[in-house]
Amino acid sequence: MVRFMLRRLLAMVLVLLAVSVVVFLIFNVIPNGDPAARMAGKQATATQVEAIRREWGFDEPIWVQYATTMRKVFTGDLISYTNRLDVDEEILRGLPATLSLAIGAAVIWMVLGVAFGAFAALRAGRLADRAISVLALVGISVPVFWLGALMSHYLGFRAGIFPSGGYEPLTRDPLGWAYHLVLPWTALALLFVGLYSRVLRASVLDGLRQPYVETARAKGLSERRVLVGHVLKNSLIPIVSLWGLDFAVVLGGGAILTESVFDLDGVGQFAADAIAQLDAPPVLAVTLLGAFFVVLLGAVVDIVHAALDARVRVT
Amino acid sequence: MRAVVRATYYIALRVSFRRSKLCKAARPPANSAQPPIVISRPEPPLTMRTKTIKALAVSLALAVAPALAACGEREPTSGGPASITIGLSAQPDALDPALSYAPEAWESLWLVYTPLLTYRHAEGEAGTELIPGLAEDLPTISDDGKTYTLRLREGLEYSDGTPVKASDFEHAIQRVLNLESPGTPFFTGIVGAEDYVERGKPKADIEGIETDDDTGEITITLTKPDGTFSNVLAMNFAGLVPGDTPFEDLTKTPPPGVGPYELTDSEPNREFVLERNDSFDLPGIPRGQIDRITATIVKDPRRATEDVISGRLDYIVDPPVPDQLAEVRERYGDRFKEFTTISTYYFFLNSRIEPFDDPKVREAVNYAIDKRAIARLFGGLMAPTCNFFPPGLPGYQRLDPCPWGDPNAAPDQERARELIREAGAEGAEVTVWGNNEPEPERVTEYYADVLNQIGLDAKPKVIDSSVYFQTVGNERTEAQTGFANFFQDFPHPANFMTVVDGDAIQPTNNSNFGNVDDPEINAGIDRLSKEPDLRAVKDQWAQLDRQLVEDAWLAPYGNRMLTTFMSERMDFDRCSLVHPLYQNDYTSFCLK
Repeated sequence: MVRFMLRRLLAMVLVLLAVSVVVFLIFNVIPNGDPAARMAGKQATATQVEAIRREWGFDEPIWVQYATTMRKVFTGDLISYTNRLDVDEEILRGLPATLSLAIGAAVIWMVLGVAFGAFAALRAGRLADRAISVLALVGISVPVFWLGALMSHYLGFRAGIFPSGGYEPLTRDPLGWAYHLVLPWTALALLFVGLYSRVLRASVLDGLRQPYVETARAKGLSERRVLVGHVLKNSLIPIVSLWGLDFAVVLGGGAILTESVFDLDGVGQFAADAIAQLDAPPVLAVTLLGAFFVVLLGAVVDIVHAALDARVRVT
Repeated sequence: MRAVVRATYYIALRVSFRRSKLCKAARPPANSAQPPIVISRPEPPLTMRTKTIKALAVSLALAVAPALAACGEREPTSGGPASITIGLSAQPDALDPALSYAPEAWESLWLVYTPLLTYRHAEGEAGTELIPGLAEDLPTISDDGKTYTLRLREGLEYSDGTPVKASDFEHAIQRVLNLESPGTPFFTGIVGAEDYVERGKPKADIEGIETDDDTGEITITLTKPDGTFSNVLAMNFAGLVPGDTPFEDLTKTPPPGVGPYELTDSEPNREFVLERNDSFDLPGIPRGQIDRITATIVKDPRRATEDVISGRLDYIVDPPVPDQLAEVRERYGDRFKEFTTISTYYFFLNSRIEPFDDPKVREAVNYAIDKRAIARLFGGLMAPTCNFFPPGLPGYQRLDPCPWGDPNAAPDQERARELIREAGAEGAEVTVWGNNEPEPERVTEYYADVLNQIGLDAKPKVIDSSVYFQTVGNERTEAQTGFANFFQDFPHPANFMTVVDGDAIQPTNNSNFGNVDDPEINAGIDRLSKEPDLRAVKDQWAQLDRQLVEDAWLAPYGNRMLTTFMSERMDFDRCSLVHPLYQNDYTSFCLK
C-alpha cells in the first residue's frame, strides 16, 4: 500500500508538471496574447507597455516566468491579469459551489444509473428495458446547456417552483442550499444517468452469462443473492472507474456549462470567464486543480477496484 | 405512515403547482395594502402508491419547502431605509478609481470619487457640461494653454471624515501612473509624467503638478496645449483619494472618496454596496435618494432580465438579450426604455493596404452596407448613422443628405459594384476581421457577404475578443478591414478623433486601425485639440467629421443603444435619468 501511494504521489507530481508546462506554453504562443499590451489599454505607448512588462516580469526568460508563476500558484500570490484579483482566493471562493454541485450530482447519477441499469438488464428485451434505453439515449443526447436553460426558464422563472439560478451557501441556509441546487443537480446528473445505466446494463447482462453465476445458482443461492452479491458486484467495476474520473472532472471545474447556465459562480464558471478573457493565471490554476482531482480520484478508484475484484491487488 | 406520505405528496404537488401564483399574490405591488389572494383548486384524486413515487414526493416536498419562504424575501419598501438591488453581468475590472476603465464600474464610481471637475447630472447635451466638482471653479488656463490652475473647495472631507488636501490630487495621479492603469495615457501629457512612469517609484514627484495644502491651489503644467485636459480632469481616474491611500489595487477595500455615495462593502465577483453619504453636499451634484444600493453580479443576462421581471432585481446595467427584448418591450414598456449612447460602430478600411488604398473601393463599401440590416443584427439596439461623430457629442451636425444615401433606407449596391469595377478591384481578396462576441461576429459575417456581393472576394476572420483590438492594432497583422467601435472616454470630439488621427499611428496598440492619415484632418485635429473653448470650435469639428465621412476613410453605420429596465417598485417615470457619459444616474433612482 505504501509503495502504491508513493507511486501515485510521484505520478501526480509528474502529471501536474506536464499540465502546467503545456498550459503555460499555450498562453505564451497565442498570437497577440501579450498580457502587457492588453493591460496597457487603448493607445498605450511603448514606454507604458514596457513598464508593465518590467513590473510584471514579462520581460524575463520564459522558464523564469514559468518558475515564478508556479511559485505563486503554491504560495497563493497568483494574480489575475484582467482584474488583478487573487486567483487562489477566487478558486477557494468558488469551490463550495462546485463541490456542492459535484457531490450532489454524482450521488444522483450513481444511484439512479445503477438502479436503472440493473433494472433494465433484469428486464432485458421487455418494454421497461426499451423505455429505459430510450430515456438513457435522451439523457445522453440532450446537451446540458439546453436542458439546463429549459429547466431554469420553465421550472425556475415561469413556474417559480425552483430558483432559476444562483448559489446559496450551505452554512448560511442548508434548505436554501439544497433548494437552489435541485435543478443543477438534475441537469448535470441526467447525462451521466443515461450513460451509466447503459454501461451497467451491458455489464450485468454479460455477468449473467458467466460460469460463476451458474455455479452460484447451482449452490442453491437465491436469485437476489446471486444478483446482488455476485453479478452486480462485478458489474460495478467499470462503473466505479467511470464514476471516479467523471467526478474528478466535475470537481476540478469541468461542469462549466452547468455552472454557467445556473449562474452558480463556482470554479467552472470562474475558469470559463478566465478562458474567455485569455487570462492565463486562473486558467493555469484551475487546470492544475482539475488534474489534481483526476489523479487523486484515479488512485481512489484503484483502491475501490481492488476491493471489488479479488484478482486485483493494490501494490 | 401512509397518511403522512399521502399528505406530503399532496402538499408537494399543490405547492409546486401554485408557487408562482402564491408568490405573486403574496407579493403586493409597492405600497399596496391588499391582502394576498389564495387561489383554490379542487383536490386531485390520490391514486399512486409505489415506493418510488413516495420517495419522490418526500424529496419534492423537501425541495419546495423553502419556496414559500422565499416569497417574502424582499424588504419592505416603506418604513426604513430605501434599499435596492441592481444587477451587473460581470465583476467590473476594478472598484478603484485609479484603475477602473469599464462603463459598468464608472456608473457607480463617478458617484463615489468626485474629481476636481465633473459633469452636470442631466440628460442630453446638458449632461456634457463641465462643472466644478471638488474645485471651487473651472480651471484658469494660461494663454499658452499649458498651465491649468484650480483651487480646492474649503472644508471638504472624505466619507470617513479625513480632510481633503490639494496634495491628494497628485497622489491620485501618481496611483494611476504607478499602478499601470489603463488611464495612464490620459495623463502622460503632464510634464514629468513619462519620467515618473519610467522610474517606477511611487513616491517620486511628478514635476508638472504643484499643490499647496494651505491655500488649496493646484497647478498642472502640460508639455503641450491640450483643449481636452479639463475633460481629463473630470475622469474617474482623477477622482481624489486620501494621500495615504496605498499604491495597490483596492477593489476589495475601496478607499473613501467624496461623493453622494460611498463604497462600504466589496466582495469581488459577488457584490458591492453603495451607501448614501449623508455628509455629502456639493453645489450642482445631487444627493442620492436611495439609502443603500447593492450591486450583485448575475452573470447570466437572461436570468438577470427575469429577475427584474420578477422583482428580485430592481435594475440591470446590461440590456436584455436579443430574444428577450421583444417581450420586454411589449409587456414591460412602462418600466423599460432604450437610449442611444455616445458611441460609433464602424468598419475600418486600411488605407495603406490594397484594395482599400483606393478611395473608390472605400466609397463602394459605404454605398453597399445596409445599416438597417446591421441594426437588426443588434436586436434593434443600434441607431443607423451617417456621421462618424455620434449624436449628443459636442460638434455633431447631422450629415443630411448623407453622401452615401439615407442610413435608414436601402443601400445602393449597384453603385457600389460600379465603383469596384472602376477601381479594377473585382475579385480582390479581402480578409474581414471581427471578434467572437455575438453581435460583432454576426456583423462581420454580414459585412463579408456584402463585400462579396459587390465583387470583392471576402472571407471573415473571427478571433477571440480578448485579443481582437490588440491584433488588428498591430501593424504586422496588416488587417485590411473589419469591425471597430468607439465609446467616448469623455464628451469631446478630440477623443473620438484619436482613432483617425494620422499622428497617433503606432506599430502596436494602434487604435487607428484603418491607418487614416489625411494631412488636412491631422492638422485640423492638432489645431482644434488645443482650443480650450470647445463651443468656439464646434462647427470646425463638425467640418472634420464631414470630411472624414465624405472621403470615406471609414464606414460608420450606427450608434449603440442601451437600455434602462427597472422593477415594478421603482419609480421609473420620475426617477430614471440617463446621463450621456455615465448612463443611468443612480442619484436619480427612487422607489414608488
